[in-house]
Amino acid sequence: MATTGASDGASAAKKEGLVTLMSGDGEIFEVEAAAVAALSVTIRHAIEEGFGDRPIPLPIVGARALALAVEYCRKHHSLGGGAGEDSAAYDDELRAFDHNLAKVDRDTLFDLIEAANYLEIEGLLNLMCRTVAEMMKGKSVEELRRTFDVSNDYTPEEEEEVRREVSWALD
Amino acid sequence: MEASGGGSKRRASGSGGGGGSGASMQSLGADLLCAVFALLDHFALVRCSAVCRSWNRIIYTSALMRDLYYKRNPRVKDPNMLVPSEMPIKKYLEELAMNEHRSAFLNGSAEVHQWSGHPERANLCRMKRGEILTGVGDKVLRLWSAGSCQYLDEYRCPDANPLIDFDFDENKIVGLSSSRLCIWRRDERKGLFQSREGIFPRGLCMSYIDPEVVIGCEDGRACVFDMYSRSCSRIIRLQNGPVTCLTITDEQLIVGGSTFGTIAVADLTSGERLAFLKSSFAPTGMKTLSFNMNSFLLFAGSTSGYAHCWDLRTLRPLWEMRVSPNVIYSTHHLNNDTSMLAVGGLDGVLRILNQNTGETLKSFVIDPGNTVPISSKVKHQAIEKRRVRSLSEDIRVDSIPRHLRPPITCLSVGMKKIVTTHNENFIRLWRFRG
Repeated sequence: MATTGASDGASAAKKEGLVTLMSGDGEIFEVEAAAVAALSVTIRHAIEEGFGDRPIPLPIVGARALALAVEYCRKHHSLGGGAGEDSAAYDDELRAFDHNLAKVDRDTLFDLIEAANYLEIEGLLNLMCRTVAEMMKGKSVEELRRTFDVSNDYTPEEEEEVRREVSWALD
Repeated sequence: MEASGGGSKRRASGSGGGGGSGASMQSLGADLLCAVFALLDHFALVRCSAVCRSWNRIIYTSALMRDLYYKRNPRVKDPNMLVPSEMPIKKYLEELAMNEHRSAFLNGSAEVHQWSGHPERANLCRMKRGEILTGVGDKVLRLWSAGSCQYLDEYRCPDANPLIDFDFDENKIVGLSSSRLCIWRRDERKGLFQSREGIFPRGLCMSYIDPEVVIGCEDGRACVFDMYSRSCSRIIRLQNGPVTCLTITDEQLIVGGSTFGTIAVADLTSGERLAFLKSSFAPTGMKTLSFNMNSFLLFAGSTSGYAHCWDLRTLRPLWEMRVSPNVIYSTHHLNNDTSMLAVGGLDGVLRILNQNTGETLKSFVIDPGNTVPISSKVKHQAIEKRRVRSLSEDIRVDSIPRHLRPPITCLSVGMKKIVTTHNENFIRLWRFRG
């Protein structure tokens, strides 16, 4: 409103344009409500439920993953209008952004998957799942265990049986 | 193979103290794992199932996984394929792979990767789970990657005791010289065990299923050797003539072929001879056997160029075909595949037969075109790429120059590929495209 006083401007702007998020480890993020609400179903619902000035708690999302997720939302909102990568608006810049985001280290990658899942950001979840799937392709069973820190809990006999059944895939 | 978009950062560990939730592949939960697994092709997916119990359970028993996977792969190309929802996913994935294997052979588009693998010559080859072992003809056995053709390891044969047959698995290599059995443990390079001389008469061939090795001997007997007690536990009179080829089945049957064209089937445990199979085309001598544990079909190749097939459940012959004008040295098929049989022999033509009819589906030789060198990461191992020519049905084999078809002394089939040895210093890996 034009009559909004200068003294009141900051909080009004905050009320109208920004939303406060709190990561699981207590960090506060002030972000554009429109961008995150457009991409994150969870945050959209939270805003609709009227958290008002209070920070929206996101208990299982760490600060690092949240920062990246917010960046993802901003970028996709401003460039793609929140559309998925199939839309015409998904241009080279967005593709390059996604490509770079997918280069995060392995731990962050899994944090991001959990964050995207919790925040219900479908595009980010798909991107990160595809990244993990790409990492799995062409790897032997041992390489998969090493890459993803998974310990082998088969007994030697069980493992032999499992491997024998799928010997066609081990070539 | 590195995934695209990969960086060296990928392997960095530690979340950098940024307050991450410490997520890992294991902590993701079944639903998210399903979302990832559903993006994999059948080969990668099945390898994942061998990683650990929880992944195996999710891949094969989760309803969500089934839904996601079938949604992504709605229809298999082959219209004869069963409706996926009525099929366990494990079987479905295997069928997908076997279809791919089959159509790659039938498509006939192939290339050969060839490299000098031995100081003198290699007569035999075996391919298992992504590894190739070659040898017989000089003093070394060499192990290669079936994916890259790169050299992996070498095992020296005992002096003055040349090998004549071998086989291997992930833990050991079992080799046979005419008078001794040699066992290399793969985890300890010097772990070569040699049996005493004279515990069996002149050996000609062998086959093993843990813990027993069976040796086919010149005098017609089969000696059963226990790898743990390291002694000969039984001697079975199998044939009246030399046992030239041998295989053991999961059902504890010993199957041995002889120079007289007969195949004896005996019980491994009791030593009792259960059946005596004969070719109706005499004279011929059996040179090679392979048994398909899925279909119970036994395949043989013989000196007169015939390929033979018996059903071991009924002990009846299914078909016999003269597929080559010359001796057949080797027949083999992929373990789980019940359709394609690879056959090779003196005429040097690589043939693909229908396992159920004996019909020759495809015949291949090297194309005389230019060879293309492939850069190899390993020094001194030059791999060259050669084109493959698919022969038409009516072609006369003797019209093809001999240098394009050196005798195939042995072959071994893997997923969409076949490795061949030719009693030369080179090894060939034939790769078929789908």
